[in-house]
Amino acid sequence: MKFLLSCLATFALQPILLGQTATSIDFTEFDLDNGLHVILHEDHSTPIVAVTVMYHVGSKNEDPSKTGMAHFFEHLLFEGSENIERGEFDHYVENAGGVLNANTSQDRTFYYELLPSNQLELGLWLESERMLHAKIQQIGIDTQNEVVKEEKRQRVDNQPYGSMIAETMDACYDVHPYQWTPIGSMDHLDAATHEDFMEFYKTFYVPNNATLSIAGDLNIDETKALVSKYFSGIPKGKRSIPRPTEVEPIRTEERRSIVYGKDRLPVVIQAYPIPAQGTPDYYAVDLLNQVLSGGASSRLNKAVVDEKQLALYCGAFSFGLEDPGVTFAFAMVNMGVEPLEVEEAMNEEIENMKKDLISERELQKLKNQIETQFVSSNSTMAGIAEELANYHTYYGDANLINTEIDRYLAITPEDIRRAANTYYTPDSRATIYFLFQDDNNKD
Amino acid sequence: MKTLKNIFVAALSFAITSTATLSQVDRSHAPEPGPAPTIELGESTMLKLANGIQLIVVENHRLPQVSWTLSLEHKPMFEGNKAGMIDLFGDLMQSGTLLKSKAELDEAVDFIGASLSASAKGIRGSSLTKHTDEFLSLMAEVILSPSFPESEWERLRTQALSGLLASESSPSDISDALTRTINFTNNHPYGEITTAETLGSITPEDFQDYHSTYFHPNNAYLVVVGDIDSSTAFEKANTYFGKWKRADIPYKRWDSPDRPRDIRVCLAPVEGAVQTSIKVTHTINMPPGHKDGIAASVMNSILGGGAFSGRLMQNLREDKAFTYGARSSFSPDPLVGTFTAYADVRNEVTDSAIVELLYEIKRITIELVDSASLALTKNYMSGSFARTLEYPNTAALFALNIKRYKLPEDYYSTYLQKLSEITVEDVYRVAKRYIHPDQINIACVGNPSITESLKQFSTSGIVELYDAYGRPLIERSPAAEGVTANSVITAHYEALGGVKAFSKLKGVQLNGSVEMPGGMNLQYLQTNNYNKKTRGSRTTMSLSGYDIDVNVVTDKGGFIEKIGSKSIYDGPELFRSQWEELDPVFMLHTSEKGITTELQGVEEINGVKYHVISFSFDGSINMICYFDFNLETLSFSKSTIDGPDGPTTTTTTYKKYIEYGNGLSFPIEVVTLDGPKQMSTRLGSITINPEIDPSIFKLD
Repeated sequence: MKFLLSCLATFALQPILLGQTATSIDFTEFDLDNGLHVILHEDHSTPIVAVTVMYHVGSKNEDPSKTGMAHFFEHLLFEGSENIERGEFDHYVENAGGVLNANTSQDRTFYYELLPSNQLELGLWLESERMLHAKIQQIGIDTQNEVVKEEKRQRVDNQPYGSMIAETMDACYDVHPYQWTPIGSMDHLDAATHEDFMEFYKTFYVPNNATLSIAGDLNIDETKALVSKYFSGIPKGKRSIPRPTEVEPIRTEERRSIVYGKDRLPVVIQAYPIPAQGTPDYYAVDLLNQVLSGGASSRLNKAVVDEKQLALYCGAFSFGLEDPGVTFAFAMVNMGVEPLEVEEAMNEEIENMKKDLISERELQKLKNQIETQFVSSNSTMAGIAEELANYHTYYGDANLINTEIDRYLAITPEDIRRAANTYYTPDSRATIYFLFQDDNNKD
Repeated sequence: MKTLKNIFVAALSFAITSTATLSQVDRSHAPEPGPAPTIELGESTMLKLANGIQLIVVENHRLPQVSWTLSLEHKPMFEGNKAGMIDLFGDLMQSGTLLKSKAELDEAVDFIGASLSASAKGIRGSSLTKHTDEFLSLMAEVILSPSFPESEWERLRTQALSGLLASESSPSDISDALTRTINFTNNHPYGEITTAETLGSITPEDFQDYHSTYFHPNNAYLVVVGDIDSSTAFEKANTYFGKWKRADIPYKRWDSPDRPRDIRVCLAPVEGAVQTSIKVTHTINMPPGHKDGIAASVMNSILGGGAFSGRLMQNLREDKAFTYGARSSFSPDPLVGTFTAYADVRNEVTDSAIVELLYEIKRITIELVDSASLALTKNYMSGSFARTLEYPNTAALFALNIKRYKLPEDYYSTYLQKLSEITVEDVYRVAKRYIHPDQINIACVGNPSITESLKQFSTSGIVELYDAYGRPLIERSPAAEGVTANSVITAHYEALGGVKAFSKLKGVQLNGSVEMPGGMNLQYLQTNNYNKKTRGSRTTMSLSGYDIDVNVVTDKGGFIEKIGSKSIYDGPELFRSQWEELDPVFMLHTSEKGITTELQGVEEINGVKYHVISFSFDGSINMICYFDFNLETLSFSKSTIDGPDGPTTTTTTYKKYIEYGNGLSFPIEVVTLDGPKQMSTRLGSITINPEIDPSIFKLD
């Protein structure tokens, strides 16, 4: 019911998510004949179960003239099915003592139910109904159209710096569909017809484009039988699934822009194109960002926030995406400080990363931080189910939940310096100032 | 041949099985649940250190890490003109110790991959088990020897000022300030608002004082969760925190701010807003763990407290599509809690959404809920309870709550049982008792264009306007040329019978009744003697001839006696009473008493224009009077007095003046609003120049 559009600040305050635990996550996986990929993780510590389905469709699969479809469609899939009356989807789950929700990103749409473990079968029935024969009616389309508009007003238009991600993505992409965000265009949604939705459903909501990932207090054999009972009768999709093929041309000149709005503090964003998630250099960039903004002693925080006192917050983080993504360096500027001064202070730290290798002590700190993050992540059944589905959907290798740490540990200080030189280049970046619109700078 | 047959049989049986599997699926009904699983609450151990630290340990070896939370349990402190210090306390405490600079401390914490975060109510953090000793030594250093460096305070203040500026355009921050102001008033610790002025008056010594007042082991719980056993935890706690010295912690009682008397509408206008953030809210009096707590929580959940099936969500989102989400919260608190129903809606449907919010709030207090909703809610809440047990710190939180809120030992182990026993009648009873749809605040943050549409909801017809910090919004224009403070005050007395006629008064006796908060009525009698040599004023409020409240003021002094308990007036309170009560035209006699009078200009409030005049004395009297521009009489006044518990603001409204004899007019009703507490005095009769027995003004 929500789209993934984390505010930069929130995003940046989180540690990089490495999706690993020190204790290995055991799982079983298999494909049904219709192509549905199934992953099961058994853990009896708490009598709950997470039933999740990840569809490999997000806003990047949208027609440029029909943006917002993936997220809007996610809303529609709570409306009911051939066997579930409109509005009853939530009732079934909540009556069973569970919760449910969904979210849509650029790359995938994710549905989940967290249920008491004796209600596993209910979750499978609901998700199979959604996949087999969701019912899309005009009344639901009309209602959710207004709801989504309210969602956009609440999360974007009426939210401090709410347009930041959309503006930044727009500045970074000219040809690739990442140029729009999952919320999409309200005009496009108004124009969407019932047929558009059915087309979308038949193309993307098919078992061969989905991963059913279940974690919790379950028995593997019984669950296999139940999965087969509810999902094996769902026909395989007959169409080919469109994936974007656009390749963003390499930038040769910096793009600079100013966005005026009603937020009082200036924000400076520098966005640099980076390789797709999962590639070796992606991990190098991720660790580079950890050096720049992982913890209070990180370079950007120490220099820009604490010592020079130019900003309320300053950090860097990667927006990892299935196709080549972007990495952001970001600062919320203190009142009375010129954004340019902050930008120069950020550049200075990035230039240092290009010149010198990180110190022995910094490397050790990095390793300690990564180790802690591995241990702390994947502590919930919902989190494990989602991570397993992610790794399968993007890399075809759910076991990366246990082995991705090796990819991080393989990164050397030289790799980090090379990543800084390769990707943090002024010519490739988009620099955006978000400034307060007062009477002096009105057009 | 045989082989072929076997293959055929195998294929056939496979086909049969799979057909059987498919035909078994009855999709028309939701599957039945399996047998209910057993829910096990985690175990915790309670221990106590010699210096008073209460240790709660939950052992869980799933991951090789341990979290440590030190939680202080004192009652909140009132910050007054230093509001904001408590919010920033943790940041400054973590900005340097007697041994380390901020940079050194940050580096030490990050180096071991640990997290550490301090606040005014304690400090928490975690590390991998193998780094426990380094971690605890850092945590102890921050708790026991913070240095509160001046330079770091300067940095934090700059950031906080920037943060305030950012908040001015954040609807959620504005809504928070507005609801805190109107629910709790700015005179209660929960209602204090940080501004640039309050940040400006904070010094590092304030942090030091707070630390030496409240950071003591006998005020602390230490909650340890993770890869550690209780004896090791005890030993570590003793090593790192054992030398921490006990001290007395001040105890402060706080009154619970009341609900408003009727429906009050407040708006913080935000130019260009595309949505209105609506909160319909009032305070509640219910401590955590109260016997009605679970029933109230069920009631709130049915209304809108979590489940998507809640009434607010179904009505305002799924039926009307006014909003992305409409919910409610019912939050018990040891001091004063709140009930709030809320939604963010587009401008055009703001009034319709308020109608629906009020409808649903009212409905839950007048109709029994249906048993299906109750069953769903109980199931949903049982499930939520079970899900929290996935986190090992839940067991620790349960143990901590039992201790700090003095709950029965079996509070959580019997929770599901108690929840299952809640009936529709229970829900109805608590709704009726705790939810008051006719005494509620409607706090909106939104486009100024919605102001007009909000008036219909306000009992008084007034929409109170506030700025981004919850301060009443004031826009004043200069008064016309020739108008002075003196001319406005003179016009007031002239309109009521004349300055001369009032000045000649020897005394008055006012008879009437007082309606107290809660609806109780008392008899009111005020006798004022204005004869220069024997001046005095005595006011009594009584019930069936029994004096509940006696107030006496003379030139020599004064006292207030409430149900037999007498306190002597002194300082600003005495000075002010003498000025106001002993002189029939006191507003004209200011300069000789050292009171400064200033004409502030003309202010328009809800379509009515006022001349605004301020009276101030030595910082201790601060009264602003609003004179009706057309009628020329005093309409209302707002005064702030610095008392022992910080400043208090009282609003006095004078409703309709009528003539009571000798050509002199008096207000027929005076309404006093002290925070949310309201008292109304209605005048029945007035005796002009009565016979007065001077002994009624005796002070002893």
